[in-house]
Amino acid sequence: MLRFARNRAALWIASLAGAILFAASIAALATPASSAGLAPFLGTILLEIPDLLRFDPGLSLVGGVPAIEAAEPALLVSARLILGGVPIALLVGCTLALLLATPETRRMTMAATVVAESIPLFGAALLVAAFSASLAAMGVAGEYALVLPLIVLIGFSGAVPVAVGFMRALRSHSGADGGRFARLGVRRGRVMRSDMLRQALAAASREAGNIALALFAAAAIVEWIFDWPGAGAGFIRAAALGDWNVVAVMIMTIAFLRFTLDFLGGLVCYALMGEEPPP
Amino acid sequence: VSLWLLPQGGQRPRDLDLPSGGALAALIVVMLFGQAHDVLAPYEAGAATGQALLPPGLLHPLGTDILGRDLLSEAVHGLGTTVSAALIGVAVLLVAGHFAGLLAAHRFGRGGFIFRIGANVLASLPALLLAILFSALLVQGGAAFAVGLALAPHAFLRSFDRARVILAAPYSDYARASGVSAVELLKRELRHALREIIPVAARALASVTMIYATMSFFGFGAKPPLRDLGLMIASARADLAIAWWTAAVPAVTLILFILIARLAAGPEGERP
Repeated sequence: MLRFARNRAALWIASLAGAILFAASIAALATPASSAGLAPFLGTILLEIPDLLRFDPGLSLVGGVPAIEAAEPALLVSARLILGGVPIALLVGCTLALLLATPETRRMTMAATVVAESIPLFGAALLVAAFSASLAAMGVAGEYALVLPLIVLIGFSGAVPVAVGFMRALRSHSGADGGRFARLGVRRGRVMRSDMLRQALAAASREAGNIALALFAAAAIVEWIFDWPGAGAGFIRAAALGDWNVVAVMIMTIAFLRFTLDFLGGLVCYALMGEEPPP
Repeated sequence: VSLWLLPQGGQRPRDLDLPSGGALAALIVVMLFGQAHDVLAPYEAGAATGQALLPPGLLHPLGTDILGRDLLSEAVHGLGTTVSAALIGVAVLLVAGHFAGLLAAHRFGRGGFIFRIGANVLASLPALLLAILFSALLVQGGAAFAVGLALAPHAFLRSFDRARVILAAPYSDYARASGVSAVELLKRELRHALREIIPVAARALASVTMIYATMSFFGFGAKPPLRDLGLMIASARADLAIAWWTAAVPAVTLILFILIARLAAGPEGERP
């Protein structure tokens, strides 16, 4: 366990260093040195690194306030939306994985999933936005008519990585132990149910980084369509306007969360399953 | 991430009864159809041909948009633009992702892990946001290239990790011990990769199209007067309440194209 944790920690540090370098390159675009040639640009990147380590990349080029102040409220708004979507993602993802793991329901579920995966999220969000706007216009529902669809859409988008992780866990479990149990006369469904909670927790922790990323990507799309002041829409706006310092803050935050979730999720998965998760 | 990547252990694609072969043929036909859009579409791109916002009828089978453009023709032209952009993205993805991952694993030894960490950093951002970032950094019109580059880190990681597993396998040791050079091993690996190129490219086509259409919807894709399916949906947004068909026609075209590409890719099996 200690060796595994040490390796994961080394990977976490190296990945964070890479993320800081990437964010510094983006923040350096906000300086006049970016158009003065390669050598001054590389020098500016090195100068930006200490600022980023202090989490102070400079001012927002659009708002004129510190970039961190410009990004923080948007990140909090997105965090609330994403946290709301997590239970839906876990519920739908685990259900989907169980349906896909059961031979009787697998084919129909797979076909439905392939069709659902082919629908771009922005199309679904556009439809839901039109529907909730008409509901709100009729006075059928209040602010929930706006917030609930956002969370549901985000949650459904996060369900796929949950299902993938859960199915992988079920497959490896039923592949190794399932065969042994089958020879002993224990039915596959019973094997699955007996170990369900541990499998689900291990899958969710191992895929935590992917789930968070899928939820954030979905949040970006629905925030843009519903004109919600979140970090995803803020990232798109900042990139379009060339507000590189804000983009750098968001890159660092997202990367930090992703790598930390991967690191912690890997440890939890190892502790639960007693085996190394895939790289 | 796709559920499509997870067939049951030991199950072949055929057991799933999903028509990969038929879908592949359909995909080729649709792509050729898209490329020949100037010949096949009833009207020229952007030509106003009738009254504004006509519902589907005999004269205009799929209706007209706010500027009186025939939606059938516009969807065909939009499909052509989307397919062309997606093909550029797929080419970039295959080279900068799959091929570069293989090369880094085979030719750079432990140094390849630096590239892997670099790819991991890029993959820590959602591909859509990374594509928008690259698109903002690249010159105007580089959206398709940006989408390919944004998806490449994920492909790089998969390709690199798989190649490292193969290189660490006993049969690679035997090959090296029997005098097979590193270059020859890479060539063999490439030959294997080329055998799988059609499902990999079809899968990439679905992913690239999805992200490119989303970017286009946000205004980072095709620039007017050139219109693709994402931009068509975005411009129909204002008329959605009164003329559903203006958004539904490009949306259904896009969904069908992505669906066909996904079916053509088939489930990704474990490599023998």
